[in-house]
Amino acid sequence: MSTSARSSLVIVGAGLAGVRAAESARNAGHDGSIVLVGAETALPYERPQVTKEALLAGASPRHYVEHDQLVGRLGVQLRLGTRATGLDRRRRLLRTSDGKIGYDALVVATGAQPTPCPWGNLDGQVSTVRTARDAVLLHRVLTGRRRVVVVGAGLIGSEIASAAQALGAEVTLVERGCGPLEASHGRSLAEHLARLHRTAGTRLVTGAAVNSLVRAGASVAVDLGSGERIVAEHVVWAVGVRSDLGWLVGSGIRVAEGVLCTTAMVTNDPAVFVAGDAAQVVATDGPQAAPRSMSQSMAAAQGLVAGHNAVTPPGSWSRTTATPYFWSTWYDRRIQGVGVPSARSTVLQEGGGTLHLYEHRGRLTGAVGIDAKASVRRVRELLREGSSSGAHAAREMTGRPA
Amino acid sequence: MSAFELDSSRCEGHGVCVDAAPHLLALDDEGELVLLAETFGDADADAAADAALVCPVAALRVVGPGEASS
Repeated sequence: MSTSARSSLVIVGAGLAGVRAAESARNAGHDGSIVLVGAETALPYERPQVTKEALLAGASPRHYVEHDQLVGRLGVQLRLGTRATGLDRRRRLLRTSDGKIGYDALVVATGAQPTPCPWGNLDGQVSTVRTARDAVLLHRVLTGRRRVVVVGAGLIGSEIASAAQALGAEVTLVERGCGPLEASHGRSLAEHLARLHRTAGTRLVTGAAVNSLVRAGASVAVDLGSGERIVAEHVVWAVGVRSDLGWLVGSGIRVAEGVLCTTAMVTNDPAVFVAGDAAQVVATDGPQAAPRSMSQSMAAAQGLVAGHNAVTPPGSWSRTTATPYFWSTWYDRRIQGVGVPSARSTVLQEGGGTLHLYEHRGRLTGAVGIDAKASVRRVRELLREGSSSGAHAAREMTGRPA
Repeated sequence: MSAFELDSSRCEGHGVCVDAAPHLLALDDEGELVLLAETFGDADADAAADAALVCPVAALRVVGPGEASS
């Protein structure tokens, strides 16, 4: 495979998407240089563990690849602790906190960051969690704290609430909807997930908006729209994420919520690609933009495509076809989502677990399982085979209707 | 011939790799990953490489001929 036209590949972002892009470029025959630029100083590590095992144990997650493998086997030049600050597309230069880096092809894999708390961090009494370091610090804060408020009961907020509970804190989880994931997955699942929190002893306050956060001596007072005031020793703000793409402003790269790209993970500049949470795939065969699927498995799948396409001619480009997938662990319960949710769902019991099957116009679109590993695996197979009806899927499952 | 190298301490049975290479990999009833063939030839190399790269927990690797497993 000819790669002479793309002799220097620069990847911004040293998470899973970035690492996969590097490996994929090498698999595609790229023998030029690969520079991996990462804002954090740590080698790429298992980010899903930040709010799971790392927070519970107070230790950094494992690395995806060790230094020898990245530098030796893959021939990657590491530029860690280096932040992208700007892009000059005309001269093909990436500006960083540590000087300029020239590229022939660029992959943007800078991920997403937690939405900051509008009231600030109140001298460290309010925190957000994204990095391994955040997890280690929060572990120390949570250990021995009696009252903790977590704002936002999405996957991250729910994982944090679960970890805080396990560390002995008395947890109040504040959520705008009727339960976790209501906006994306509907009321039935949200109510089910709400019960998981309540059964485990976490106080879940639903339909709640935070009006203000203020210092109250050594504590923080969380004032809700209902007029209720919750006083806590620490608050974790987990109200969604956003991609910090300020460094691309003025570069001419089209950006909305994320960097806009096609299913080939290419931006409006054919030398600039994107993968992972920073990417926003726009369907090219219709006016409707696909919803952003921000997950570790999407980061891997998109990194693979972006790395391949960045070093190959457009005629041989691959496209992302991966089925969306996420997993989460709360109170030792395993939650897995495969495919995409839709308005209509059927709930099945499987042993001690539950499966929420989603269908649209009679076709199976996806499922969320709670301790339902075998059924989730079967749904994945049905989605891969295609053309399965929701009713057929329900019959296929070993369980019975709830 | 190449082969998969599975780090079973990392594998959590998500099954994402199975979608990329269903003829080489499967999940058993317990959700454990099963390698359907010990080794595979060039015809399967691309699918195998993709399967390894889509793993969200980096549990799967392809080792080429003569590469020592560690």
